Amino acid sequence: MGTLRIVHYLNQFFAGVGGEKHANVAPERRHGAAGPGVPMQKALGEAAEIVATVYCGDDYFNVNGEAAIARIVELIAAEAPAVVVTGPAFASGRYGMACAAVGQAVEERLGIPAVTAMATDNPAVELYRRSLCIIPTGESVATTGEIVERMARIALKRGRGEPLGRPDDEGYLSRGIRQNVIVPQPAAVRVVDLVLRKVRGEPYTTEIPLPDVDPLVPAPPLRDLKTATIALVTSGGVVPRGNPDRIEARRASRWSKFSIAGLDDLSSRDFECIHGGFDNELVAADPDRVLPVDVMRELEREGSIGRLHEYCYATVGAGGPIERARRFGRDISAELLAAGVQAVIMTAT
Amino acid sequence: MRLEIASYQVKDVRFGAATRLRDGVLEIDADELRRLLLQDPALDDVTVALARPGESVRIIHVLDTVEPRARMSQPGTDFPGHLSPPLTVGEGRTHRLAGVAVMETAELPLSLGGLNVKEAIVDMSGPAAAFTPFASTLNVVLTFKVCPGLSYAEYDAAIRHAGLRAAVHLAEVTRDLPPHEVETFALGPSSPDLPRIVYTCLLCQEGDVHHDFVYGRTVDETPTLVHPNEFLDGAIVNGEHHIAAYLKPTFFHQNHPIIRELYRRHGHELTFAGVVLTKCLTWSNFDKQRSASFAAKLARLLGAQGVVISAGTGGHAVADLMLNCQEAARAGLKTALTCFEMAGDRGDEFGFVTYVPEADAVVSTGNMDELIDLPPVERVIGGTTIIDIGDYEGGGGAAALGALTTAMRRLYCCTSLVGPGLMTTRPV
Amino acid sequence: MVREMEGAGLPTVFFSSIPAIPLAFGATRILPGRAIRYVLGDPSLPLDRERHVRRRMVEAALQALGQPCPRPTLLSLPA
Repeated sequence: MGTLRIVHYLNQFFAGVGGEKHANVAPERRHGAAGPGVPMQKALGEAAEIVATVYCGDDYFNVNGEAAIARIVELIAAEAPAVVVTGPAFASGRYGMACAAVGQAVEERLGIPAVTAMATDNPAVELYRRSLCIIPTGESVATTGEIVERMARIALKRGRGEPLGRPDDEGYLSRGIRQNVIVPQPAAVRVVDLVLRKVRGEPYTTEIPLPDVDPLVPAPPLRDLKTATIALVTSGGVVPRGNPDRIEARRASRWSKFSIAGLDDLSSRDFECIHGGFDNELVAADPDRVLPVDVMRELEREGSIGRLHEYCYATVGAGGPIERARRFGRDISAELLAAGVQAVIMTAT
Repeated sequence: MRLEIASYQVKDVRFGAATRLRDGVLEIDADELRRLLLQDPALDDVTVALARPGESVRIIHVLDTVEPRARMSQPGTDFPGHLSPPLTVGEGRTHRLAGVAVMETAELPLSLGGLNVKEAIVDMSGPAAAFTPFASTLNVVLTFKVCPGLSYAEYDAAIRHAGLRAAVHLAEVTRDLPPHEVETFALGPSSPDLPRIVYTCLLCQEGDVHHDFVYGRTVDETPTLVHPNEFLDGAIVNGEHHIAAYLKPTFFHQNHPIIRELYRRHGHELTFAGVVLTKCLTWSNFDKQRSASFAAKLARLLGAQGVVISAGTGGHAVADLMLNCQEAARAGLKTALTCFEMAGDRGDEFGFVTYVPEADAVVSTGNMDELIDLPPVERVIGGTTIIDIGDYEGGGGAAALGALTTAMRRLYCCTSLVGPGLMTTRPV
Repeated sequence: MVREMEGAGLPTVFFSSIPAIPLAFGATRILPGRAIRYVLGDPSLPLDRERHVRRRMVEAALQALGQPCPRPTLLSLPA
């Protein structure tokens, strides 16, 4: 096996060019290792050589986006490396984004594997963890020694085309992807093992960790109901007859927006329920059971609320992923806010 | 209650002039079996086919699967509530043909309300074989044609009874033969120092295609207790034909993996304190809460310290599972759950419909959204075309003989919720 | 979905027939729906009485919108 060729990407600071004042330096390449690449080369020994270091100012990268990436990729390609290492970026947001973007570009455009490293709460992690091999670091550059050793070890494997071990064993961030595998023991045995561990007070590990829910800053409550515009939203799958927005019966990939202007209630003649996750006959018979237009219209007429928003939003919630639901929520809120809506009543089956 | 199950190992199955077991080979008189089953006027025809492990065979439109069993100590008590009066079983002596499964297949008319019979596939070889438990059994596949003009419920009952009848008929060959093995199931004395573990089994009923039967009736809103032997001896029969991946066919109630595992450790590592049956997929939060709290109380009355809870089916039945977990935890019990995942075809989505913070010990039976490429096969049993209802699963409408890409949700029992499978997910 | 709306500045109320779900996923004001098959209805009643039930549920929701709700909370409907 010949010596593996590695190119290392750094920002201007770690490349030794200068600090914040030099953050707008354009992409450059120099021979051999620099900055953290020097201890990394020691860790690599004879097995690999950092043939070049490509660096770019964080501001330059931030401002020039695609142009910067293209130039960096060009500089890297000319060295024909077997693997590209970027960072470690630690907690630096701009640098982290640059490291991740360069890593992904190199994989997609050159087909060369990439390895990067940054702190787990670096904003780049959430965007790139699924597609990139990211080694988690702490906040402090004091851990550089240990980090570059790990980067070296993983880079060698990736450069040689060797499969990586499990994230926890190998030392990189789980990509948040779960794959079906065959294990030696059936689920029935594993679940009895698990309950016994719990009862005995022994440490135990669940096979499906529950998601972390970030703290929510709730909206201020509605001040004046009598002047408020309120919108109705549902994941119960009530849409205009014919389903013009083609919402799927389960795990809908989009939402439907439709007008209820001039309507005093929703009739089964003009609306239907396309939700495939439950017996939807009763909702189909009277869609107000899921989108209470009849009652809201009454309240509007009486002056108890300011206005019922003229558009309803509907999707189907059966078995959809969290990220998609979040995206729907963001997109629909943007429209509602732009239209002057002040509160939302949502229904789900 | 003390049950002896005598096992007769079957190495091969073939058609023959008479139905008998000789030197480990099960010979089946197909005409005799057909005549027996066609006594039911709801059935227009039935064909019998054989599928062996390793063959290039794909079985489609699978409904229930039953292990051939016959209760020997009391004639006429098989599958109580279906083939015989609904009287308690789980004692005495029962014979089983080990290594054989009777599979029901049929093309059924779509049922009501959007809850349809889903496609269910068993590949006897190829990449899917590792994920379907019935790729390693000798399968006697019954393909039914039903007479037109009857209700879905009548077709469903006719096919179910025929499958059970066939299972008893085949097991009868063992009546006077010496068994290979006899297992005794009895909850004997166990040290009070051992942890008391209860198994809570979620069963479902909704519409026409979700039915779990307990002595011939579908499970109801008030949880109840059974002795584990009742599972092993035919009291619980499956009638669920919704998503194939997480089904629990009658075969897996007869050979219930969790019950067998608790029995195996009874008196050594734990005391198997009993089985609670509770309903899931109920339509209101009122009933979900009521059942969950009641089931937790029954576990407490059994003196449980820990409870294993298996999911009953998917959709909002996962909420039932989670509420059962929550109520049991609030009652002071340690819980461990089985559940499947819907983590998207890339495996990057959180896999549960819902959860509770108390669900901190869950065993995953696998991600049913993962895609698998199935190769073409030489023979298909059960039909010609893969069922597709809506564009939910993709790959529908394909010719069953050919190659197809499908979500694993169509692979029969690959994520079965009672835990027979070796499949799970791992993060990468 | 509704959590994102709350985060964007729109006070929300969520009627769910399985409150365990929004409680786990972080919706703020949660009101129990009547059943999975009819969240804001009751087919056992004649239409005018059913509408009355629906109206009282919606009124409870509108009231709740005027109250602060810092954490996921299962609110109760008036008797």
